[in-house]
Amino acid sequence: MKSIEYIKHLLDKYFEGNTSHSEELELRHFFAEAKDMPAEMSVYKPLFGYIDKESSMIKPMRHHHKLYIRYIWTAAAASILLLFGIAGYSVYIHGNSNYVIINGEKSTNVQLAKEEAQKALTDVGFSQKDISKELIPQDMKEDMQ
Amino acid sequence: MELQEFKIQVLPLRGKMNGFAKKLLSDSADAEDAVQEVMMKLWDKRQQLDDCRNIEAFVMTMTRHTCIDMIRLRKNNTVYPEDVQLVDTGHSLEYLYELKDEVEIIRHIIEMLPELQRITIRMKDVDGYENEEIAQITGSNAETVRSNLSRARKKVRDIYLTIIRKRNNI
Repeated sequence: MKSIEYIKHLLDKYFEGNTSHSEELELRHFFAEAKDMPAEMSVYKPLFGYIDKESSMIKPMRHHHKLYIRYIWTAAAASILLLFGIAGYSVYIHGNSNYVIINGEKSTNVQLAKEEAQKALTDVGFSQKDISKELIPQDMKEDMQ
Repeated sequence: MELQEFKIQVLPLRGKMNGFAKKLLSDSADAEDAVQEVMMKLWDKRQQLDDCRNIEAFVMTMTRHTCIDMIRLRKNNTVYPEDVQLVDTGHSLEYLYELKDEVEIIRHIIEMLPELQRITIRMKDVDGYENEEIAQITGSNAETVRSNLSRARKKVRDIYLTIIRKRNNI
């Protein structure tokens, strides 16, 4: 709890129009929370009560902008960190980014990779005979003969 | 319209507004108050200014209306007591003695203040701008803002204390 002397000093400053916004928040907070205070001070309770009430309704208007900018910077910083994180992690996991997996073994041998790929392609290729066998039903083929 | 745009589109009109207000009010201190008041009202309406086709015409019309209101006020300052002594004789204040809720009394006092003082209190106390920020927005200086603010706050305090004292005596 702030000392009464300090609050009196802030009050004088307030009526001279010299308080900053944060000092005015201190005053509002004090008058909202304090239970015991001298009578000459408690007369100001309704004034700060009124300001509290009003600003709770309008506040988003004023501080929205600054807050929004702060969030954007936070978001930007977070995304950059995240990006570095993902990039760093993937380099750590995979090391070299070009590789093949042959029979469950990781390999970076280009020659071997080409040979294996060619072999695999030949395996999946259909011959002419295979295709007709797949596409034309058995009974139709017998009719054609 | 945000501050940067406001500074480019509205603030340069200040000189013209001031000359116009001086002509209407034939008093340079009042003219400065009028311009200050219009600037704060314009800042309040800055969203609308984006759709305004002729900002200068809009601004000058607002300046004229504000000056006319000030002239009316001068003729009838018992309704808006400039001086706290007038509180006792001002008929419009009597109903305040009947109010039980002190926060409501404060609200009524602030609503009765001259526009310039009312808006200054709102921008500083409610919206939370610093004096320097208000000075930037209105193209004036922090000392002018501080002095307007101080006058406004002291007036609220003095009227309030007068009402409370009177009410407790009854």
